[in-house]
Formats: sequence, structure tokens, C-alpha cells
Amino acid sequence: MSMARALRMFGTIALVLAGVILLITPYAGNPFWTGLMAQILIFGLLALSVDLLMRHTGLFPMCNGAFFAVAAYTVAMLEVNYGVASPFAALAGIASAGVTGMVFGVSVRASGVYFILVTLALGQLVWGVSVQWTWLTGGDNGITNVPYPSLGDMRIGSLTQMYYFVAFVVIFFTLLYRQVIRSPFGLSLNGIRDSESRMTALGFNVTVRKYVAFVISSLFAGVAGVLYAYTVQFVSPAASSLLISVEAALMPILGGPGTVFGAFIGAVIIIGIRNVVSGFLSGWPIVMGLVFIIVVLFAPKGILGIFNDLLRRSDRRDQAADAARKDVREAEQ
Amino acid sequence: MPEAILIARDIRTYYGDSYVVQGVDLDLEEGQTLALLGRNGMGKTTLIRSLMNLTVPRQGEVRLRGNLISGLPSNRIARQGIGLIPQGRRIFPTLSVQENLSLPGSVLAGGRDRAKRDWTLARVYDLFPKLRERAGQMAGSLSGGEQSMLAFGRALMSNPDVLLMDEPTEGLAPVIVARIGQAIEELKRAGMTILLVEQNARFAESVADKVCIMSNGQIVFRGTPELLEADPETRQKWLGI
Repeated sequence: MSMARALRMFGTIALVLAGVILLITPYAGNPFWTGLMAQILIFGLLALSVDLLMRHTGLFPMCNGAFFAVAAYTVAMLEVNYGVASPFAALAGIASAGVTGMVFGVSVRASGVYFILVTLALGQLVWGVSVQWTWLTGGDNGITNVPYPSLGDMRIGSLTQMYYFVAFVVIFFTLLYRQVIRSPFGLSLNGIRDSESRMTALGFNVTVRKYVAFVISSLFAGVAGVLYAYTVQFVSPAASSLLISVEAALMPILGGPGTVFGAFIGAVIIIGIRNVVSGFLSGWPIVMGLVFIIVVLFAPKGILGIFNDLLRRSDRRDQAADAARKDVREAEQ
Repeated sequence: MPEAILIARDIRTYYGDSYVVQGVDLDLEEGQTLALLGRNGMGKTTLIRSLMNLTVPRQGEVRLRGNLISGLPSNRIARQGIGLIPQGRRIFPTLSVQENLSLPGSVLAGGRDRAKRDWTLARVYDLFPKLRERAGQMAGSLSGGEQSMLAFGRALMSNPDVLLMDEPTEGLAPVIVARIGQAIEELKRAGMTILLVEQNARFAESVADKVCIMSNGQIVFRGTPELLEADPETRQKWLGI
């Protein structure tokens, strides 16, 4: 068996295994794993929202945690304080993230480091609100007892049910995300990342497209925030901390930027280290730092990148004979 | 005499304090190929960039089919029907050949500023069969000649009425230059209006209907290629050949 076939088989097995784990996690006998897996899915979606800007548009946002938090707080407040029906609360959560995105979107006028700084400052604004406006957000106490979502008489009654709901929503939005990336619009974002002036010369309004990408990103982050509020059932300033934005950016970098699976692989690593390693090693951030340094130095395309590179290389080796034969044919002509 | 489709009047462009384009007039007639010659640093590229407002001129106006386009954002100018093949074969290296070519189409479909859709993927591939072979390949991995064909094809895919080419033959092997020349001839037959900026005078003379020479930000010679060829003094003085 050739190397390429072995790699493909490995990839398929890994994918099937991931699917099986996704399905059976709630039956692993410990709700800890169910909650962890749900968080991985939610943060994977948040990581995708960052990757849309980071990898596909060439902007490095530091405020997606803010969209995430705005959506989470909105849902929590509407559900707990006003008893708003879940579908409306959820939609309001996503919409509030989108509106925040529309306002913060002015930052696309800045580029490079300035964009990072502006989004960082805007993100910290949301954090400030979540800590200081205690009348609205409960301050450090946060908002507790967020119920599981319900639709009329149908109510999600357990973590297991919530988990499957999260999985369904995340998969749905991941597929939607993939459509966005593959659309002509997504392609134009890649063009903007490569060269803004070339895109302008082709007739694209670069600023508008970056703005739209920014708002789309905020909407995806909002979906993740809504799921977070319902799953964790508790929203505190931790949701709006800078760490969320940073980790969401690290996830695709670790897993494989520009790929849908990469964001989730990164989420597994980061959330896994944070929750599992921290159980027996108080210095877990050191482990996280080491993993990050190693990946960035030795696998700049992320973990999925290693796999893809190996596959491409062995494919090329397999085709080398073919290509040589073809060259000879062409030379004869 | 055919109607001038692109008219530039008194274009003056500065980079900071340096006065690069010093009051240039240009008339481009429909279907005409105008070559703009001149040595390095004489303001040719800046003039082209000024026409599209990529570098903002301090003075002057540009009209396309009678409509004032100077002052419009560059992307709007592009949508009105001016295509640019930038210097140095600036393709999108991380997109595939096919993706590079389909980019302009998506903005036309979204914008609908112009209904014209003469150039399709198939037609560009017919013009440059090499690109069809490389359709799925990353553009950054193409050879220089292939990249320049790609930049060519990409500009065509935006279905321009006027095509601005900034030194399309720069740094290419003679066989590729010949291929580019053929492509320009084919475009001319299809009625394309072309403004060709070149250092390669011989190449420009072979494809152009009219030639201008630029020196120190001004146009110092206007005439037919034949006129220029028959005038070794002018060639020597402004082009150094």
C-alpha cells in the first residue's frame, strides 16, 4: 500500500472516530466529558468566526470574544430577567452580536497592527461593561440559572439533550460557514488577503467587503455565545475576557488555519489542555505555551497542515512516474 | 474619425513634492492600441495609475465614453469598464488559476453595473490553453510567463472596454513575449481598446496603432509606429535606442 493511501485511510478512520466520539460522548458515563465536548464544539465555532477574518480576509481580530459575550449576556438576561421565549432570546442574542459587529466594524478601516489594536480596545470595552455595569450584567457574579432552551412545551431537560442540540447547531453553522467560504464572496475575501490594491483595480470595494466579512464573523461568534449561555447556564465576565478572543485565534492556528476541521482540532487541544491537564498540573498554561510554540515553529500550517503536506508529498511521489512518462510523450510531440 | 473612448486632459500627479506626471493629454479611440513608451522613471506607470485613480492626481480629468470618471474610487472606475494588467504580473498567489479568473466575474454579477459579458472562462482558456491545463494549480506556483497570461486573462474576465497594460512583457522570455503579442493581436481583432505601457519599443511598435513617448512627466512624441521607426533621432533622444 502506498503512503498516500495509508494517509487517506488514516484520515478517514480519524474522521469516523471523531464522528463516533461526537455521537457517544454523553454515554461515556461522566457528564464532565459531555460538558467538555459541548464546549469544544462551541469554541470551535467561535474559532471559525475568527478564522474567517484571520485566514480568509487577512485581518487579525481581537474582539470576537466580545461578540460572543454580548450574545451570551443578551440570552441570559432575556431568559432570566424577562422570561423571553428561547427562540426569540436566541435570535436577539445573535442579532445583538451582529449589531455590535456593525458598530465595531469601523475598525476595518484600520489595517495591520492598528486593526489588532483597535479591535483589542473595542473588545475590552465590552469586558469593562460586563464587570462594571453590575445593574445590567451582575458584575463579577454574572447571571446565573440560565435555563435550557425550550420551544413551547418542548423543553431541553438534560445536559445530554443540550449536548445533541449544540452538536446539531454547530454542525449546521459549520456547513453554512463552508458555503460562505466557497462562495464568490469568500473567494473575494481571499483576494483581499492577497492584495487589496489588486482587488480594487478589479472593481471590488475592498472596505465594504471587509466590513461585511467582519459582521458575518460577529454573527457566527454570536451563535457560539448563545449556545454557550444555554449550555453553561451561567454567564460571567469570563465570557468577555480577552483570553477568549486570544484562544479563539489560537485554535485555528494550532489546528490548521483556513480549514473547517482545523478550528475544531485546535479547540480540542486548547480546551483539552485547559480542562484536563489543569486537573493534575497547576502549571498547565506552560503546557499550552509549549504546544503553541512547537506548533508555530514546526508546523506553521497547524496540525492538519502536517497531514495535508504529507499527503500532498506522497501523492506527488506516486504521480512522479506518471508525470515523467507524460513529459517524454510531450517531448516526442 | 472614430470617437475617442478614453480622454485624459491635463493630468498632473505628484508623489509628495516630486512632480511625476506634468500635464498629460491622452486620446484613446475605440479599438485603438496606443503604446506609451519611455525610459524608466518617466512617469508612465504613474500615469496609468492616475487614470484609474489608484494614485490620485492633483489635477486633470479623465472621461470614459464622455462620462467623467476622475475622482471616482478606483473600484468604481474598474466597474465602468477599465481593466488593468498591473506591472510585475500581480496575480493572487494563494488562489488557484481558476479562482483568479473567476474573481472579476463575481463582482460583475454582484454589481451589475454593466451587462456586458463577452469574456468567459472558456474564451480565456481558448486564448491561453496553458491556463486550462493549470486550472487547479496555485497561481503562485506558475512560471513567470504563465503568471503573465493569468494576469492578462484575469483582466479580460472583468470584460473591460479599455485595457491598460503596464509592461506586460517585462522580464519574459522572447517566446512568451511573442505569445503575449499574439494575444494582443487577437484582442485588437476583437475590437478591444488598449493602452500599452512598454519599455520594449520594438514590441510596442509591432502591435500599436499609435505611439506616444513620455519623458520627465510629459509627452514628447506622438505619431504612428512607422513614423517613429523612420526617425532614428527621436528614438535615440527619448528611448536611447
